[in-house]
Amino acid sequence: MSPKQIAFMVAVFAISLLLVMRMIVHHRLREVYAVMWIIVVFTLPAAVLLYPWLSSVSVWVGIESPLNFAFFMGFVFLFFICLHFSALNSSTQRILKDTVQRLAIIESELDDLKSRLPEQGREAGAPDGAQPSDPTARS
Amino acid sequence: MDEAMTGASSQQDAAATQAQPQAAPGGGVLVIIPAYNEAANIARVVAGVAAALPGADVVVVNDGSSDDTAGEARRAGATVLTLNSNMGYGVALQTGYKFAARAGRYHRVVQMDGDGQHDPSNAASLLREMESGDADLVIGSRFTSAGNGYRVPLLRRCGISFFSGLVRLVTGREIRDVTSGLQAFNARVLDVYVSEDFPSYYPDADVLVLLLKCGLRVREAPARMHANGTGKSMHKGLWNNFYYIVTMLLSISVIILRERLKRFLSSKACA
Repeated sequence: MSPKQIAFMVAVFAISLLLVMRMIVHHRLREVYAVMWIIVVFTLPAAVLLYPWLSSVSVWVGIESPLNFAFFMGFVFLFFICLHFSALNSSTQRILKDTVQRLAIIESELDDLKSRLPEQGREAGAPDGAQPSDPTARS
Repeated sequence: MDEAMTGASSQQDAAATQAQPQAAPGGGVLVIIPAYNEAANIARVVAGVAAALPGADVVVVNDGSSDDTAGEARRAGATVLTLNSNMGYGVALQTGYKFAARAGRYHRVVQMDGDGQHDPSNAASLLREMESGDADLVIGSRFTSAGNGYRVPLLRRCGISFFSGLVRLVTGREIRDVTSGLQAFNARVLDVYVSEDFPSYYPDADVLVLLLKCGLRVREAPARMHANGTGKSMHKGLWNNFYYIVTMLLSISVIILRERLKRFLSSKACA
């Protein structure tokens, strides 16, 4: 690789690292993703420094150009990232749906219980069916 | 006012014990009505159900309406479950199913739309059809010979025919009205409806495929439907129709794939 290419890669690495660090500091990345993106950022200079190794691996898997091998690995990485976030999104949607449904049912049960409270109190002999300290007793 | 309504309904309960369909011993009937911005219709629908099925409990699932659907339904005597945002028809329905399952006292469940298109008197006839014994789910159909001649727009009728054909191809069963939202079913179907397998986008033909693949018995019965006066529809517009068709095809494909994988992995297709 030419010095120009190396300088460009170092600049991209530095900017990416700064961005990820900034997001970690401001709690905008969960720990698990923070670690993953730090690994991704360090992969960039690793690929530059280990260029001869990248060349031999690309020849070994039958890809003529090391850059094509790097692009292919990037594509594979993005494929798994998309798959992971699709699964995560599906799971989050299911959890959200279940929570909203549960909330609606529990709210309804709570309203039902509240409406029954005075009746139960009367059966138990309490005045107006509620505790004297109950702020909702006369509402 | 509520007490007066309660008193009146208990008298109606006693008077209608013989009129209502025979439920399993100790079991009740729950009518689930999903509703989104139906303040203008919901009270009439709830009152119609109370008149047709006096002994039944009615639950309206208010799907994040911006109008007073919840208040109108509550004043009409229904239990109201309010979703805090508009989650869609399927999620609203499943909330009602989960309410029924959690209550544990309903042996028959009826679902119908909140826009007044379904005639509440159909609910009783669907339950009677169920009591005849050989169905887990009875669909109120617009297309049986005894239907009331309700005219479905041509394009929608083509869509219904397409999915009806698909259901026949996949399950070997002919169901003409695969998109009817009027259904009565028992606890076996409820078990499937509250499971994770329930497709909560637009539960139509895909649900029928799911039930038939689970070995449940599905029948159709004639039902009267009224024209929708408001002109509102979930399937309005070219994009919505296209999205519905693609999603329904995907949903049916996933149900079949999941059923085959489950059968392959554990020789058990249903929960």
